[in-house]
Amino acid sequence: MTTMATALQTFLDESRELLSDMELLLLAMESRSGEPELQNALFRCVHTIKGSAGMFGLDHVVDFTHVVENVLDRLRAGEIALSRDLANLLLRCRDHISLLVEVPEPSEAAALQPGGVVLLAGLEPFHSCAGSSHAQTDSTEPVAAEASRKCRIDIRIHADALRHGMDPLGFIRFLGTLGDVAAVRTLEEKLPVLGDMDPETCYLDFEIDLVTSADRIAIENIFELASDLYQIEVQDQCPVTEVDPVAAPLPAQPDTDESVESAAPGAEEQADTSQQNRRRKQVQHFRIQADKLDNLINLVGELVISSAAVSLGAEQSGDTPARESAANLNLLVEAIRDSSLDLRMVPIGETFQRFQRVVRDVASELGKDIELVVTGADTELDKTVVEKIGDPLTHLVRNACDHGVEAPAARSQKGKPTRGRVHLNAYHESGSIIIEVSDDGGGLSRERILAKAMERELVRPDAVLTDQDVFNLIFEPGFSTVEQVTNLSGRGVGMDVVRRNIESLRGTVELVSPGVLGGTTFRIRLPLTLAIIDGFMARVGDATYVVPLEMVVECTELSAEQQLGAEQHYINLRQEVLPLIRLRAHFKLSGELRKRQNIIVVRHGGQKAGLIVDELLGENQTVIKPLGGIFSNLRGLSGSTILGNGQVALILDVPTLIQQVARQEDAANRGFQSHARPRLSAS
Amino acid sequence: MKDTLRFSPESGCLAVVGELTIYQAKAAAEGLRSAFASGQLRHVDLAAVTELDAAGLQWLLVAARLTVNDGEPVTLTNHSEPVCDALALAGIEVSS
Repeated sequence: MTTMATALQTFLDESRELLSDMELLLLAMESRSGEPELQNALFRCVHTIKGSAGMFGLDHVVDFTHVVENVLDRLRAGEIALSRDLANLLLRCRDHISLLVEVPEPSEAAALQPGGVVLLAGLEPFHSCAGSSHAQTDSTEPVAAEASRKCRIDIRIHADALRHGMDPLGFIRFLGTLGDVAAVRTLEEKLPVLGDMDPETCYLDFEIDLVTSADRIAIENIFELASDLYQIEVQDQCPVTEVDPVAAPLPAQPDTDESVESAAPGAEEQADTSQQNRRRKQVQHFRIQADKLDNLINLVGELVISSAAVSLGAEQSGDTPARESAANLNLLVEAIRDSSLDLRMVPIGETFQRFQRVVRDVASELGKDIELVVTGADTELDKTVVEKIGDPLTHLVRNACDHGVEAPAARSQKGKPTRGRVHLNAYHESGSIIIEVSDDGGGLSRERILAKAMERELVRPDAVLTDQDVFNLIFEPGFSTVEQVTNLSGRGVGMDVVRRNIESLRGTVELVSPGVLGGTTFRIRLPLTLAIIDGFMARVGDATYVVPLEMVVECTELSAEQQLGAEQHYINLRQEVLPLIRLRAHFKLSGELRKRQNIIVVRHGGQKAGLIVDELLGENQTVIKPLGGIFSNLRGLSGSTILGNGQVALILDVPTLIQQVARQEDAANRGFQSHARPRLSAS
Repeated sequence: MKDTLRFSPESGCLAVVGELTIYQAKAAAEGLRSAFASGQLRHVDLAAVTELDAAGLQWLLVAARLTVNDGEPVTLTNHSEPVCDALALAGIEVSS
């Protein structure tokens, strides 16, 4: 039966989400340990995982999380404090839970047992006196700060609940762990006679009286896994007069130092707000399979191409109504394209947050104290890009910790604070997303890199290189300047792989030193999406080229006197020097030079250049098709696209073109060309 | 797979063997229908039930409402421990 598998998948997805929340919370608590909100949220993460796991009978998960939950409960009750050791331990417990959750069968979890035992032993000192009695109702009194009261829980169950593997009896059994189930009423009104019965449809509803100290949220959380199949209404009835025995011996602390009477409305309020939060969250998100989305975007790509063909046909027919409809259609297709691409946009923050842990672990391994600062976490980019940028970023962040930030002793010698900083930043700039990895270390030594490069015969001894050229040597295969090889990085592999990975995303990476924080900054520039762009078409000879519209600043006619000097590589555009790229010459196109030529002024990364073309054709939506492998050595082209008339147009790789111009300019100024990267110097 | 239900028309006894859950629900409903249609059904023997979920519970409740001949109810007998547990969980008293 596949329905159980679906439910289990939901459980897995949710657990993964909760576990990543848990990691963030733990890391946040290290700096802000006193905040009860964090402690409560952390507790709830583990509690929900335990609850859901119990529903699926994953005892191995329940047993382990139960102990962790106990420790967290004591933590939020203020009985124990979050030391660095405990934080380490809890992080490792989190990792262990994530291993356990991925194992579907308790029997298969045996292999993980030893690791779990070690962690449990580590937790022992923090564990409540309840000791090792797990998973039984006696010690599972998770919410201890409130008085017991009786609540009425109305459970209305969707007809499909059983088919989805959501057995109400399992939920009722689990409710028993929150308190004392005083009464259960099975409501059989909907139950038909045998002849009319569909045996897999759920006809039952339940009413339960539960005496518990758990708040409404904790009760509702139990059903969260099946929130679309179960309608839950929790009504508080008269509080049970005696104070919960667990609540009484709690040491007084600022947050729980309230009388029982005042605690109740407070809890109510909290319940309301977090219920609101949940409702808002539900409106914001729902899950969808990634490949469905990819499929949609592929289809939209085809739609864009077809609608271009329709527009062209309408244009050529000269039929006004047809042209109007085509124009309308185009607008709609454009809107569909934008919103479907938008579906795949995710904030980069999630990826960034992962590095909190990376930096923490790397720093402690290296004996350094490093803080990760994240800005621009809201910056959005295509999910497919996000997935592929993780590895290169990890390498750069580790690199920054390892080679960038100095050891504490060296830092204090230089008069810097012993705590180093690594900064991750993201922002949008003209159709690209920029991701910066900066450190506040010593920066790069030009001499050291150059010496190493000469030793490795990457550069001729007589080469004259700019700082930028020297820094870029770092990305050459087989280059590493670190004398001491750590087990993290510095084995000479990596930077060239980083560059290759980024370039395969049509991105670029550059190195700035001194960077944003005084040390080194790696600046990665990536396209926002890999699928569809707004393009600007131009014709040179018989060929059509597309320039990404975001990079186009303006178009202007090349006047007659400017055309005269065919060797001239720049013009004066409103008192600014604009370097020129003659596409006809660049791509070695034959054919007559036209009388009138046009300049498309493009900008990328603060540099401008003028592309000289024969004719401007205007905007179109460009579905990017990758160039085949045999064209991978072509510089200056990033892909191809199919036009409405079926012809192929090439998409210009503006960043590379501009880089080339800049290099030629440099080389021309100095009278010779660098030997560092010969493939860039040939045009 | 073993049959969940064994019906002996002579004694009028329908015995449930093994799990009675959503996985067996369809077969169990059919078995109950054919046993009931034969006109011979008198008891449902639950001694060999090893697991009961809400689908099984519904099945029991429906079976318990059946009447044969002139209003004589079909009886549920020999509740096994898993059956008692599930009934207790659902707050249903066992009347035997």
